[in-house]
Amino acid sequence: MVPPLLINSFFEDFPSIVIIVWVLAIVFFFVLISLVFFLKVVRFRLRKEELFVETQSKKYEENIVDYLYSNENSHELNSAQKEIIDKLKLSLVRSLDRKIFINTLLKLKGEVSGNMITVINQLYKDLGLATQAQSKLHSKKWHIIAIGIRDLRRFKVLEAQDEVAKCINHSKMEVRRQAYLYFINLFGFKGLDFLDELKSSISIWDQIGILDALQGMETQEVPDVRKWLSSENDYVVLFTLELVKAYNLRETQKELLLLIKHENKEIRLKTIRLLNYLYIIEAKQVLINTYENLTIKEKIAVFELLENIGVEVREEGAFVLKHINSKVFEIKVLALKILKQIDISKFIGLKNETNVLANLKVINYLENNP
Amino acid sequence: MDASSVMYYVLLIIHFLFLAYSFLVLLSYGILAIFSRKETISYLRKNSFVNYKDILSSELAPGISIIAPAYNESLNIVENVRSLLSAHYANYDVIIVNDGSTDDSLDRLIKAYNLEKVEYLINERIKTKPIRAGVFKSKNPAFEKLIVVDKENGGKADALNVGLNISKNDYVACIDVDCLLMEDSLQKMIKPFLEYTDRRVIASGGVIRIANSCIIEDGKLMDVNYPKITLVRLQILEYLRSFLLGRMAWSKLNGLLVISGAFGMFDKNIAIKVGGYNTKTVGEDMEIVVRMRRYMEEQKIEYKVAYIPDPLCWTEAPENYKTFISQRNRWTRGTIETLKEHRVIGFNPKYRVLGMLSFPYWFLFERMAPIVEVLGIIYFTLLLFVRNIQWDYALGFFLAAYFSSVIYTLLAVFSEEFTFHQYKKKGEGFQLVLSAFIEPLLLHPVVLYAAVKGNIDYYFNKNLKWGEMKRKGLTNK
Amino acid sequence: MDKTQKIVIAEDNSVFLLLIKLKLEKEGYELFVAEDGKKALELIETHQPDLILTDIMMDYLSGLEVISHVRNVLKMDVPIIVFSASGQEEMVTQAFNLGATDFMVKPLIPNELIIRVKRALV
Repeated sequence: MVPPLLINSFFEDFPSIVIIVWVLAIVFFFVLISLVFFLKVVRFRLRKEELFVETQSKKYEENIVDYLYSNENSHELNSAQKEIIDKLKLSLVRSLDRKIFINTLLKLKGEVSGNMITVINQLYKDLGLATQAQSKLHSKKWHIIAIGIRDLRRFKVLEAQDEVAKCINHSKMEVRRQAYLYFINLFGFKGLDFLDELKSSISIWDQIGILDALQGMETQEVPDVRKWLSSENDYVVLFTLELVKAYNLRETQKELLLLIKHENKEIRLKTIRLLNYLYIIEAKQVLINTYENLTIKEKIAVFELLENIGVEVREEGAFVLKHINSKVFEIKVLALKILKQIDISKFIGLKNETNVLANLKVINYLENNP
Repeated sequence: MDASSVMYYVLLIIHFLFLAYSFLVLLSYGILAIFSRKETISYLRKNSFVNYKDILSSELAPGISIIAPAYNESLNIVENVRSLLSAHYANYDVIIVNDGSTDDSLDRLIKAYNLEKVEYLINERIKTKPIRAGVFKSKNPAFEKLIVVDKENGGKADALNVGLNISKNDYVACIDVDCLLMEDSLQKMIKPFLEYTDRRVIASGGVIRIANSCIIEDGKLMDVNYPKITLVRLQILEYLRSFLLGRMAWSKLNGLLVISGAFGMFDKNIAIKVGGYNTKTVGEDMEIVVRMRRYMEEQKIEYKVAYIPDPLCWTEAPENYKTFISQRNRWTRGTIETLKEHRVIGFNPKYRVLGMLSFPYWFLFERMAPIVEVLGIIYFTLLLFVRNIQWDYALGFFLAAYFSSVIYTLLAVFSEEFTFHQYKKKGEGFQLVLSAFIEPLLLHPVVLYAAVKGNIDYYFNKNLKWGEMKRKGLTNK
Repeated sequence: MDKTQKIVIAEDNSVFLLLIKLKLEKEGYELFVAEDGKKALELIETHQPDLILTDIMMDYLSGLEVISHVRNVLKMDVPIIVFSASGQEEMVTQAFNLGATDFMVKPLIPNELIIRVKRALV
């Protein structure tokens, strides 16, 4: 076995290893002790902060309601209101307090409407919070900018629009999204003009937010969106397609039919589905003519459209018939489904003709299920 | 050179290898902690702007199928399905795949949800075991989201594949049927798929939290408690470490290899394109992520595996050592199988982060760690026998290793405190610290034992399947 | 009116609750407020109010459960006004089926609420 001498001589050759290991052990020990201590402090502070937030929110709730009720008729500030503003200004020096106060305001804003909203927005400005939010736009940190725009948006601070417009093409998507929403929330459909200037992308998540904001607008006068359908920014086109769908803008038919040949396959797919949704009969022939150039997903969408709008002309029927043995399952099912609609005897006849088990399964299923 | 000097150099090399390995482990933990911190801060910042309310009423919300395989879960299945049906999301369905259960799961479901057999055209893009009793839907429109499939037993992966075949939506959320899903979990998991425009998100993984001792009423989590059972307490720390430090950091590096099988969301079309879940491994949850990533790398499409650190899914952890060991044994085999299956990507620059970072890390520090540790123990005992231990070195080494591992655990606890702060009751802080100190001494040896057993089973006992998980049930405690 | 009329409000938004409470108190009603459905039911049982205002979505017990309990268990025919948000139309229908008297969509105008309250209490 190993002679003792060897190991010892190993450590004699490298005495520093023992020292390093011990130094590490001691350092780690002290780090550990301080971490435990720090954890205690953190938990204590968190608990205290939670309590603080609770009491402060209660206080601000009362202040806000007092402010709202101390003057319900005139637009001028009265002395009671001025007093509340002065008091609030003093306690809103701390940033945590500002955060709590703003959250409380927003909590109320979500539940009331009418004149009270205007009063709340004015209070936000009178407290100097709007100016503060505006100054955040010059920050170097993206999340500060985003917070700034968000608050300017929620309290409808019109004065900031030029500054916010500069953030439309910001590199962080969170900032961009707040900027889009700012224009929609403040100007409604008119705010969509930011699309003219847009160089960056709009994600589906953004689209959801923008459409939701538009739906909340009081006036629903949709502008002419056709120019955006031919935008050079594909994301603008994609978003506009959603607008067309949400507001049933059938007058865009001509532009939509052109988009079938767009080079972006996502745009093509969405367009085909949209043509289907809008029930545009003219699309059928265009799609059949260009069918071979499409991707599989688009081809499936074409058959969905044919199934939904219906096949009447003979050439269309022949086209469908060509695809009942398609390798793509969805296309095969849809083609057979259409065949059942237009020529039931031929459809039944297929049962005896076909010896492909998979086809038979589909036919049998379609026979029993509409 | 004589024999003794050869021996000397051999020993020298062994010592340095162990030392270098320990050092690398320590270094990698340090780096992971730093990345995790960065990612956590950025996640919290981003999340503070998110308005999840919009997607609830939006027509743009993409369809999601929840796929939940069930095998002999009759005890809680009705309750669990009810909880799955109450997610807050506009456009989703729930596919329960009854994987050849031998109990009365199906009957219970039929009775509770007024199910009837329907004809259902399945596009069998992934080959699976055949359907048994059929596909069922409810006659009651209140449960129109529910689809129950009864099939012949084929294991979890096979059941999930049936779900993939049946789903008509673009996204699938694969979950364990006994998991308690938070109401907002679908909204949070789908978000990454919708917000990136410069890359394709192929999967998103959620955090699994341990639900033992938590108060649950009507499928809702009412109160979070730190459990009394030591084994569960120690597992909580393990989970915090793994989810809040490890995965968070890997998400920053876009190098996530695993999405927990208990709850993950996938782009269905890509999952099907790569052939669905692998029925030949016990680690199908890790394997599919690696395969999907490999596919994306080979197709040269920019992609991302996203990670949502919010506590979205709560599950029951094993409360006795036997179940625990069999669970970890299976995890070990799953890891070995997956890494072996995809060994070509290891150290292959063609696969970028996946091949050069994720894979080597998993191989060196997850796959090999138990083996290195066992070798170390054997070596140490050997020296002990010949009374040849340099005690001052051994003790220093042991203490440094012990302290550093407790530090790492405490960092995870800090991360939890600053983010989700679930264990907020007085006294629980002390319990967490205490557990952190005993975890390396108590739980780690068991984990090591299970891993060694996993290795042995993998090489010498190939027919082994899933261990059974004895469930007490999460509902109404 | 020989005695002050009593109103129970169940609403989980504390600041909105305070706003409504003060407004109604100014109009001369006696108010009992609850921030969740469970507490609302306790207040209803102890005070036998002349009117109940309840939000449709709340913790512990939803507004629907409150209505159902008042009508079916307590067998009271006191008027109930429900607050809902947009997108909860289905729940409003359910609320009416369960026996709600009136509903208002939030965000709402406080003065309009007063008018509805007065009408319900005639």
